[in-house]
Amino acid sequence: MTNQRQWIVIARGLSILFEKKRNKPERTSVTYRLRLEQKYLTPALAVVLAVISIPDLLLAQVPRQLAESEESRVNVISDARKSTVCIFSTDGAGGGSGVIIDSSGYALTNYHVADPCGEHLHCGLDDGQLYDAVIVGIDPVGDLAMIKLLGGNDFHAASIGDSDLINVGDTCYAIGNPFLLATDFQPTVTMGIISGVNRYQFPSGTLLEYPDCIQTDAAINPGNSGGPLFNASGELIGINGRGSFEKRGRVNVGVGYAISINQAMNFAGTLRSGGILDHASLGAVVATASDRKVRVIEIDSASDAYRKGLRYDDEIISAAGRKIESTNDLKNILGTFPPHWKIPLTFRNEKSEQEIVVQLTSAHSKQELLKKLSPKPKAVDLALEPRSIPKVVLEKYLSRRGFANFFFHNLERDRVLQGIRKSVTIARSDVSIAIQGKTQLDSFVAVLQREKTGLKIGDDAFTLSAESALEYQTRPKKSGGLLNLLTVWRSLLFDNGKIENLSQRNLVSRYVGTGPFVFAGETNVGTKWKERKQYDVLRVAVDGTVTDFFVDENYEIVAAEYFSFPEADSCVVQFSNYEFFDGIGRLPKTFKVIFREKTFAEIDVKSYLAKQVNDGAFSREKEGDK
Amino acid sequence: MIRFRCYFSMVVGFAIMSGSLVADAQIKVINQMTQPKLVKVYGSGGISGLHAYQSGFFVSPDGLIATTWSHVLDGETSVVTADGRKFKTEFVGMDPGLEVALLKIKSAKEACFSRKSILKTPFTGQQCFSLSNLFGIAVGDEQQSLMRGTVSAITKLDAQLGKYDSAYSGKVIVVDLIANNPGAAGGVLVDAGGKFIGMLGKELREKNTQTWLNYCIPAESIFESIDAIRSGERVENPKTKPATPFQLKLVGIELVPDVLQNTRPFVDDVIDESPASKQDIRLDDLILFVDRKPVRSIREVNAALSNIDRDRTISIVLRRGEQVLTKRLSRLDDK
Repeated sequence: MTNQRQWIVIARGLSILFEKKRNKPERTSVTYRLRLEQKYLTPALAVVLAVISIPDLLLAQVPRQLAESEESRVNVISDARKSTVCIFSTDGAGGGSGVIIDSSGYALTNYHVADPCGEHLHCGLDDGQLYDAVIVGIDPVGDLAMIKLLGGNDFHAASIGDSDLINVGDTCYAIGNPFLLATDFQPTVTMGIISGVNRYQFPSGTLLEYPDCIQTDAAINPGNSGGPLFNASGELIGINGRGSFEKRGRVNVGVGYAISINQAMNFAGTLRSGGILDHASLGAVVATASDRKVRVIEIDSASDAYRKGLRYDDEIISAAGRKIESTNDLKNILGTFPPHWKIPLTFRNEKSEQEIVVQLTSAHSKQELLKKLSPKPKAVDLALEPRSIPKVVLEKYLSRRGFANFFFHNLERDRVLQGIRKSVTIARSDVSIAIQGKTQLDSFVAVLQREKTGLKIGDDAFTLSAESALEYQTRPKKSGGLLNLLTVWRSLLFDNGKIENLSQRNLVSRYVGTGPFVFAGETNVGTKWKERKQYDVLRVAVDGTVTDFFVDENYEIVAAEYFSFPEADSCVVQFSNYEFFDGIGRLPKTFKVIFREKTFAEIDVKSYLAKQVNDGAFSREKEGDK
Repeated sequence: MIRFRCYFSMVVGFAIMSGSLVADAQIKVINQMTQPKLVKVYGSGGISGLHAYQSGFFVSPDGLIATTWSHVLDGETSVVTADGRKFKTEFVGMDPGLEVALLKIKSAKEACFSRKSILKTPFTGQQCFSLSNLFGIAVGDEQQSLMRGTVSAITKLDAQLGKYDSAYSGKVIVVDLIANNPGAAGGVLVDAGGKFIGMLGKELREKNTQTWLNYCIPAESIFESIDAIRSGERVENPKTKPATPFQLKLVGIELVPDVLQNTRPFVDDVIDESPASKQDIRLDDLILFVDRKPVRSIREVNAALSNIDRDRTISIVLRRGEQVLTKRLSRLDDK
């Protein structure tokens, strides 16, 4: 009723205004007063009424907008809940939260949630079902762990967002299992805003470091750990894991931290390797100088950064495509990458500004890392607990020192090895492969066989016999070891994991995880870094040499990097233009050989020829050519 | 012209209305416009659980900073601005009632809160945002933490007499967000338009329930206090006591003999025709506050009075049976 009356008064006020315009009043004392009234009182009245009527108008308008935003929120949350995992330890004593990132059941959680649970976890989902899960890999420094839910293949995976795009003030939802309330597996939802981004939180106590993390005022309580943080459109932007509590006890005080999803996804592929992961170091210590520039105050002369020219007192300008303006900035960046990655780094010395791609190193030694882990993941003791761990879990668990679950390492390694070998049609160790082509200037011939590897570029010929050790061999000169790289490549493709021709030595292959392939020889490193793609990385060790193979989703080897000894400058070969060659398989037509950021040769392959060595024909034929 | 004004005021009215539903994009704007006005304050502390940091904000373009009066300001104090510049500060003064302190840095052009940026009529149920460097999370040029909540109540802190250990007993704006954390004191509470609602106070814990209060001191009071400090009216640097302090006998009050460590300050006698008797102060009244400072013993009464000049008017809060009374006393009323 009041509302109506207000509008009537407003309307009257307005009609007076219109009236006034038409009849210009004479300046009598009465009309003057009326004018004054109109000039000041009427608008004042209108303002007052407008303000008074606001709450009423609000009531009329808000419900529609509220209803809409609420409806969209409800929809987003009901979808996001499906990927949330409520974790309980099998003894019922502990637990936390998790989030499914892959429909086959891979889920992320915190290391500090998964670790006390051991290798077997109970996971409740929104559908009311309890699933068995097995530990896959752990990252104790970054407080991440990968688990796999068993007994299903069409789990609801969260859609992954980009945590670099979030802003302070954005709405977010934390979903999880605070105080282990979700005994009916229905997760708890809390809502808040992003309070801060790019936060750096020091390792608390032992190892746990939260670099580049997200701060939110959405309630994060004990038990929310490992659970997802979603943005307003239901995309996964972080893994909740920590809060500031201090004297107020372990309950939310409006300050929760989530590991950024970009960091988690940098590690996710590598977590699937079943390993115990470390974090990265640059091999240099920096400090913010008095001029607020970030300078190198200590550098390890054995580090890749040093080899690539970084020196004491150089100013760090950017790393991994982000500007460095404080020590925390660099810590934030380094903390988000696994140690086997390479990142672009720009620095300035008195002379010039340089962009390098630097190979990161492990922040801890393997021993140091294992020592700091406590308690260690429990080993399965079949004699003591024959019934406590179900068969489905035992089938997927293999204990080995240095690994969280060796079963998953083997699973991934075999997947990649088999994938690679599928591309060749004659996987036999006695096959001899002849490659003919040309470099920019010369002819190119390579003969890869069991007894030896032969290489001829122009008039220069090189051979590696089966008996000689691979270590420290870097022929041809200025290639970093192309001859050896091709030997290992052949063995990986055709030998079923054994370099039989090399005195029966085993070729040890290890699945490292996933990582991008970037190197400084390229133009636009920055753009390439931004658009980086992660490849499976398979590490092959023979004698003292190491070769990393970068394998894409079609199991094509896109690049290989050979180290004649662990700290050597590497020989990089980029394989491209894969084509099918009759009787041999899908193989690359272009080899780009790079050593010390310079192209050694770009080989254009004309033909591949496969012959069995014992018929002798091929060898004679080649010899005849010479 | 008049019509235009009228329409304009209605448009403004609608704008205010739509502002009550705050979108993510708008929060981003609030954050961006407020951050440059904030500083991180560093000083004494860092031992036995005392934090050595708190928050503050500019109140003049030439580098005047308001913050909370606390142990952090006991020694040399430095501030870091939103863009990462670091300054040593000069102590201007403080108001013991509000526990507001003013610091000064040598600067010329800072974004600041002013009287113009005060939200005049905060209301219960209003959406609000706190910005502070709680827990000292942000360092250097990193942004201070933003939190969202609602104004839960606008009330007086002394409504719960003695329950909080606070010198301040005036109007407070209570919020539902957990704003008052270590280091948050001196931070700001703003509305959806970035208007200044108040300054986050020190951490206060209710003595009986052990719950923490989340509140701020209203912007109006803060600016009154700032003006008073600047004009020298309330420059009470606690380190310098007045030469001629206030004494209760000057206004005609005699307290019970101070025999115990914590003798409760009961009135033992009131001299006839004295300012106290004119104010109807009676035998057996218990003094609870002197100038908004809680006093639990005669010693504390004397300590509180020793900071006040004899010529000033003081306010005391008394308990008489179940009643709580506020009285203003001055020895000059005698004449």
